[in-house]
Amino acid sequence: MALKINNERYETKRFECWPIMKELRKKHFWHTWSVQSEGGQLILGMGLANLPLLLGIGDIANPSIGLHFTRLARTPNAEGLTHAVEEAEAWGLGRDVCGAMKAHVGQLLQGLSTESPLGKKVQHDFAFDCVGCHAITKSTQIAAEYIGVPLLMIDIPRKFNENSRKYLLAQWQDAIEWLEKKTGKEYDDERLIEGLMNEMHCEAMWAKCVDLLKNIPAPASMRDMYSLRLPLVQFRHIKETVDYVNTLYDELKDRVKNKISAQGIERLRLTHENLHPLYRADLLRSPEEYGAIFITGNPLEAFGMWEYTEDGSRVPSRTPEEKGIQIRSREDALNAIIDRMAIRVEDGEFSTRDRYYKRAKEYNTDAVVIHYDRPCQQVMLNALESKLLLQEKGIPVGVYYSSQGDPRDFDEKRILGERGELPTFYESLGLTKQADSASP
Amino acid sequence: METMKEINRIVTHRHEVAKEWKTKTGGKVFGYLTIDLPEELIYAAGILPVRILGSHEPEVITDPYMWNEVHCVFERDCLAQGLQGRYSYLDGIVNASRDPHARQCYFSWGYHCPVSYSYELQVPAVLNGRHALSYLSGEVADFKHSLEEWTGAPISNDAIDHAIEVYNKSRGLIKRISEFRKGDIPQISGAEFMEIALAGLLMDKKEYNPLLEQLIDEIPKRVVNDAGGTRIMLAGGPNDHIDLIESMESMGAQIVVDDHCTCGRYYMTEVVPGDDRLEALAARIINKPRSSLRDLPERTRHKHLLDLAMEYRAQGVIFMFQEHSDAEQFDFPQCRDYLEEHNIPTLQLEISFTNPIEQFRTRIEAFLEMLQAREA
Repeated sequence: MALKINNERYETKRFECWPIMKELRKKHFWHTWSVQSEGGQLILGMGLANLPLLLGIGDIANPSIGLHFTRLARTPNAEGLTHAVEEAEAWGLGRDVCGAMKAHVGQLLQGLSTESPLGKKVQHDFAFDCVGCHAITKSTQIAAEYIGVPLLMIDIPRKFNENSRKYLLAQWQDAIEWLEKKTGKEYDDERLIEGLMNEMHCEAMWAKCVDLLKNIPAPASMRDMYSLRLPLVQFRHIKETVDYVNTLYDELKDRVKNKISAQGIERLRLTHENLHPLYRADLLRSPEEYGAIFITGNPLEAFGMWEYTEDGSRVPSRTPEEKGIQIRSREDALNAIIDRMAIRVEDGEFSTRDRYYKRAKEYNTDAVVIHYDRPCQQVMLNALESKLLLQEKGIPVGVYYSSQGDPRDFDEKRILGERGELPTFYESLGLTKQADSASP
Repeated sequence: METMKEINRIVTHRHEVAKEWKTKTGGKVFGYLTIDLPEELIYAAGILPVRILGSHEPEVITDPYMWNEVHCVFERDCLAQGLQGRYSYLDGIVNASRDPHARQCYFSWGYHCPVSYSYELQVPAVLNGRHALSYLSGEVADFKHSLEEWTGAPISNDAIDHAIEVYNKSRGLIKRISEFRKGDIPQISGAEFMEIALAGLLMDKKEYNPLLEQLIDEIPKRVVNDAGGTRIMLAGGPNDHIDLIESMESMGAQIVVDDHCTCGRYYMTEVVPGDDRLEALAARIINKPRSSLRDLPERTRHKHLLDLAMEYRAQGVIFMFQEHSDAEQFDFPQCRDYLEEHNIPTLQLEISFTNPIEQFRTRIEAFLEMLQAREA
């Protein structure tokens, strides 16, 4: 069935929130290097979905693997990143394991992870991770051992029931004791509660922002949102991010009301599933020259909090204020963390095969692009099954083969060349290159 | 040895063996995808648990569901058997692994080879955590409840006690067989041991135990010449490549012990019976030697491997793991360094459906020569 091309033109304009996001990002970046001198803790690891727990010991910064990833990725041909990955392989990691985590280990072995941009050596205070993906968990273990810092690891069950709630609660309580012992600081429940409320607010508001992308025209593209999301990644527990995401939501709502679009035209709307190659964010703009647009995908939804209505529809979560949630004690806070986790686990992004399909329907998209991320076993869980389901339902699907963290897996010609995987797919949908479709 | 012929028949004709059992007993058969499972509970419910294994034939049938550039060949090979209908006699499938490859196999099995019962048991990843035992005991209780609902009959304490006894007996007997490899001249080869161990994953342990007893009787009577091989330990995840082990031994390796989850590690830890039977079953899983994934946050696996190598006087360790196994690969450098610090050299081989035996030969022979030169 031929897809209906929408040739309507829409107004577009720059985001007023953009400078706020950049300012927050810059502040966070420098905070990483100054946190210790200001009495806070520098934390290694990828436990970024549960950072509020750490706030009880004071100010924190958690650059996770991102210390130099972006800088290395921006060297010509992402050469710096390739060197990091190869360093890890020389140490003994295989060619076929997670590229992003290999880059993390490579940076560590190169000494980059313990060096600030000003050339000063830094020593993390401890490592924190929640068991999820094997590559991430084992990399954090390696990193903690290599740097010589204690490791706090929380086991997250894959199924939620009363037993797993009890298990998590007991682990969180132990973790607080561990934090007090390792840092010598008294745990401050007020800070935990404040950080958690901020984070819950941000996650709910981010989901509301992403939900607005369902509108035609979309008020932002996936590429816009990918950048606008940055404060939500590692510092959604601070008040400035709460203010930022509220402002972003208002701006997006205003754009919807006034039909301000992301790029002036959306001949076809597409979803992009799985993280794009992180060193090639421009790939998310590849439909633009065809007048098409990537609207959303699992990487955007991951930073929001969602809930289900009685009829099974998935909708943005209400904010704690809207729900009337009162968190008064440590136990309330820990239970709220567990509730959030239960929703995430039960949401089953990777445990079911229908999320790609549902997203395509919910966001009014015409076709789906899937990044077959070679070494990422976690995001590839059920990816092929999801593709089959989309095809069964008659939704066109295109795939391209690469890796989020290893630039050697990105074949420019094969993916973006004239007869590459993506241009060929766009053309198969009935799209042609447009002379005047570039976004501002 | 006559009994080895029967062992070989069981491994070679595993599906017929399971089907014969089903016909003979009228019971149900479940396939499982990992060893972190209280198999005794399934057995106590009157169900025969069999480990799903591949056939080592190149295949493309799984390509639409599991991607050959990301999913490990072991699990793809397992799914291929299901898709080809070779496990059509299964009544249920159980997974207790967090490994995304095993989970994909489990999910795809459910989509394309539906069975009347399927269950994912949650096993903690941080096994040495203070609350791991109570959590796992609770999950084992849920699993028991689920089995009871499906069979429509309660699982009695007597049945669990009997299952523990039968399974512990297998573990004890296998240990005794393994002892025959400790001497200067091992009485059985690594390939034979692997075949014996695999047979136990594929049949009723009640019928398996007498075979092990016969072997214990037969092995000391056989005449084994000193082949002068180099004593090697194997380590890694699942490995059922008997032919590859035979080839390695023909090159001069003497496989004296292994830590593969489909082989030696499966039998290493017994259930310590207690009043709380479900906790006793959970405790075995908690206390058994760690896999690469679950060796968190403090490492115990490298010490376990060293102890095993020392106990069996292995001169070197060959790590054999599946392509695309993140957990094994991220664990390998630390294990390698630890063993080498203790003067035990290592070699790493990535295994697949079929293996490039001549490429491996170059590497294995060089490794063995290096070990021999150290001994000289």
